Amino acid sequence: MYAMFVRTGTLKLWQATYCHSSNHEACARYKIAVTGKPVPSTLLPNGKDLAKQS
Amino acid sequence: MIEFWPFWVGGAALAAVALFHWILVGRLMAVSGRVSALIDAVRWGVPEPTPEIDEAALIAAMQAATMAEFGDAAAALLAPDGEDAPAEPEAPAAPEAPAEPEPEVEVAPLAVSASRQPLWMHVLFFASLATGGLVSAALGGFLRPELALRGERFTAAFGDGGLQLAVLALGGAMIGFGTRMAGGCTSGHGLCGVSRAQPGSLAATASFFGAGIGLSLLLRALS
Repeated sequence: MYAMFVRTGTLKLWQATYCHSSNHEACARYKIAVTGKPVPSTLLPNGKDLAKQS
Repeated sequence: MIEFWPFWVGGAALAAVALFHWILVGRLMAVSGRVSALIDAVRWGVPEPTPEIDEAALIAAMQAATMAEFGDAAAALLAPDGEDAPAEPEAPAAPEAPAEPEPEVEVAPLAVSASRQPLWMHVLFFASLATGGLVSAALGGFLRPELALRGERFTAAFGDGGLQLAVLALGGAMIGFGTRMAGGCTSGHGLCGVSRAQPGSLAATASFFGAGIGLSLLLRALS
């Protein structure tokens, strides 16, 4: 997902909202990661799956 | 006595392996990541195969999703005096959504998470790892099964009995725990992350080697 953010030039937008703020616990990827489960590679922090939208 | 390659030859060989791995698999080489993927497969089952998605379509979907998420607020979000503004105010404005996003030419495809690769790829990787070691040992003339470590200082410090085995087991457990906590090991962080100047990898690699150097000096003092 990180590579995808970089490629589309959208990295800092998502980072500012979900990574570099107190809102990181709202990140859908974070919620799955803390359970130890593998995070889908196309899952966005807002819970939407790019694979289902492309 | 094992004759090792000159350090610069070994380093170049490792870099070539990492580069070849990227070209062949489209993913940075990371041994611990594959271990995690295998463990995940045991715990959660093998993940369903990902349907083939056109890269251009994926990029377009990414840009559309970003516009839908942030819209006109993107510019305000990146303003220096914005409430949630990032530390770097020079961040780009809202991304433009071109009519036909064109992937960069001659750029490796988007990386695929190790957890989405077929299970056999992970097994093949580790089998190749072991095979390469065996071949190297055989060609070097030092393919001899041994129970004792070659490190004389380690043996002098911990003997060659149960204490040595216990220390080895504890050390292995610490390596596994630390690797998981650091999100990578010497291959992922050391080879790939450091070469890309990733801050986390630089810190992790400095910790790896710092601890190794410190312990080596300690063993020397104990022996």
